[in-house]
Amino acid sequence: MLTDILLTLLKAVGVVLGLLTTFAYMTLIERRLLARFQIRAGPNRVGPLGLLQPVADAIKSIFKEDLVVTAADKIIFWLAPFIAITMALSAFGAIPAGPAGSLFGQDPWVFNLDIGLLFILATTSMGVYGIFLAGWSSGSKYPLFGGLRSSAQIISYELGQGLSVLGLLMLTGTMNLVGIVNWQAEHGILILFQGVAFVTFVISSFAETNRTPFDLPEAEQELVAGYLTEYSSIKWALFQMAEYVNMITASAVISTLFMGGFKGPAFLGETIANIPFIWLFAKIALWLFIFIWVRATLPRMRYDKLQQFGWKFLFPVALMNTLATAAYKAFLPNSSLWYLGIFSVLVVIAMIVFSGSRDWQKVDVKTRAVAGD
Amino acid sequence: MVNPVFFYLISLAIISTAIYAVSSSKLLNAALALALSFFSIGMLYFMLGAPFLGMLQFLINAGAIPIVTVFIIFMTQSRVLKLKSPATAVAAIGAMVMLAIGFVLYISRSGSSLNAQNVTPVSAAMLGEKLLGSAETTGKVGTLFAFEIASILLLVAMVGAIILTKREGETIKGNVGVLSEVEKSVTQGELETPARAADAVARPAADAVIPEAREKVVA
Repeated sequence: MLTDILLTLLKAVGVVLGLLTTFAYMTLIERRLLARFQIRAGPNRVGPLGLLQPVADAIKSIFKEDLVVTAADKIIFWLAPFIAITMALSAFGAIPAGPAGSLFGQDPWVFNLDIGLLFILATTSMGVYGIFLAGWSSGSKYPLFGGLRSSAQIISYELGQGLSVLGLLMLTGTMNLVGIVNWQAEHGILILFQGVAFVTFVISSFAETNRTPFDLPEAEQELVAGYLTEYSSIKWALFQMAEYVNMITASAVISTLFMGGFKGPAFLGETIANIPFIWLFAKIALWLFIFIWVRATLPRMRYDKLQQFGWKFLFPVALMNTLATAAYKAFLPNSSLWYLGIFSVLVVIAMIVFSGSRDWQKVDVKTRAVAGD
Repeated sequence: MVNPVFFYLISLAIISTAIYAVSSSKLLNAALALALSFFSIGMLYFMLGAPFLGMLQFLINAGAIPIVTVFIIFMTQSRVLKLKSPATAVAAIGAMVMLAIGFVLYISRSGSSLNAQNVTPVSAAMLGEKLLGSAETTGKVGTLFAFEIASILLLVAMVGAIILTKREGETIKGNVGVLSEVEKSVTQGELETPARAADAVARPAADAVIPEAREKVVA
C-alpha cells in the first residue's frame, strides 16, 4: 500500500523531470532546427554546440523582473500559468512506455486507467482554463482577445479530435491505452486502417497545441503576443513550458494511437520489440521533429479561415470516418481490416487532390465581419 | 479503498469552494470556484472506485460547463455582481447545511449505511450496457431511446438559444450585446455598468464635440 504510493510518486516525479528536461532541450533543438531550415547558424555560443543555452535561458527567466499590470486580477493572474502547466504535466502520466512489468518488474506508466484516452482528452482540454484566465486577468485588451481566440480555437478543434478517435475506438473496443497498443501488436498499426482519422487527429492536435499554422493566439501583427502579452519572467516561461509539454504529450498520443505505441516493429522479434521506452521515445522524437518542420514550412492561417477549416472540413471528415467505420463494423464484421485500409487511402488521396480546390476556402462577407477581420 | 484523510480533505474542498461560489461577488471567481468544486467531486468519484463517472465529471461538469459559463461572463463584460444583501448568501448556505443534516439524519434512521465499502466497482463497459443496452443484448429494454430523446431535446435547446440571442443590430438601452438581457433577469442583485458599455455610451458624445466639426456646422 505505502510502497505503491511511494513508487507511483517516484514515477510521477520521474515523468515531470523528464518532461521538463525535454522541454528545456526542445527549445534549443527547435531554434537550431529552424536556423538550419533558414540556412543560418542558430544559438551556438553558450557551451559546446550551444548545449548550455537552456540553462542560460532558465537563469535569465528566473531573475527577470516579474511585472504585474495594475489593472490585473492578481490571484487569477498568478493562478493561470500554474493551471496550464499542471494540466499539461498530469496528462502525460497515462501514457504507457513499455509492456506491463518491464521497468525493473514495475509497470512503466504512472497510472493505467480503463479510460486512459478519455483522461488525456479531458486533461488537455482543461488546459484551456490557463489560457482563458490569463487573457481575462491581464487587465489589457490584447490578452483578452488572444485568450478568447485561442479558447474558441481549442474548443472547436476538440470536436474534430474527439470524433476522429471514435472510429479507432470502435475497432479496438477499449479506451485503455495499453489495450490499444496490444490490439495494434495483434492486428497491425492503426495508421493503416484509420488513415483518415490519423490525418484529422494530427491536424487537430496541431491546433490544440497552438502550433503553426494554428498559432493565432500569438499572431504578433494583430495581437502583440496574445494571452502572453502581460506576462514576463518565470510565469511566461511556465506558459512556454505548458505549450511544449502539450506538444510532447500530443506526439506521445499520436504515436500510441496510430503507430503502435511502445512496441517496436514485429519483424525484429518479440524481445527487441518489447524493450521499454526506446520505441516510444523514438516515435515521440519523430513527431516533435515534424512539429518543428511544419512550423518552419507553413505560414499562419487567418482566423476566420481557421474556424472554417475546423468546422466545415475537419469536423465532417472525422464524422464521415466514424460513420464508415461503424458501417464496416455493422455490415462486414468478420472481413479483413484491409477494406478499411483501402478506403482510408482513397479518402486521403481525395483530400490531397481536392485541397487545391478553392471552394471550401471561400469566406462570405458576414463570417468575416463576425471574425473581426 | 477510501482513505479517510483524503476523503475529508476533498470534502472540505468541495464544501468550501461551493460556499465561495454562491457567496462571492466576483462573477469569474465564483465560476472558477464552482469548477473547482465539480473537479473535487470528480476526485471523490475516483476515490470511490468509479473512474468512468469521475472522468465524465471532469470532462463535462468541470470542463465544458464552466468554460461556457466563463465565456458568457466574457461576452457580457460583467465583472462584479453586487449582492444587495449578503444575508441571501448566508441563508442559502444555511439551507444547504440544514439539508445535509436532514439527509444524514434520514439515512441513519432508515437504517441503510453510507459505507462506500459495500459498493462493488462497476466497469465502464458494464455501465454502458446497463444504460444503453437494447432488448436484444441484455434481454430487457434499456434506456437508449430515452437517451436519444434527451440529446434531441438538447439540440432543440441549442438551436433555440441561437435564435433567441441572434438579433441583428438590435441593442437595448445602448448597451452592448446580451448584457441588457442579463440585467433584466437578475432580480436579487444588479450588475455593475461594464467598462465597455460605458465606453460605448461615452464615445459618441466625445466624438460629437469635435470643435472643428461644430464650427463647420455653425458656419
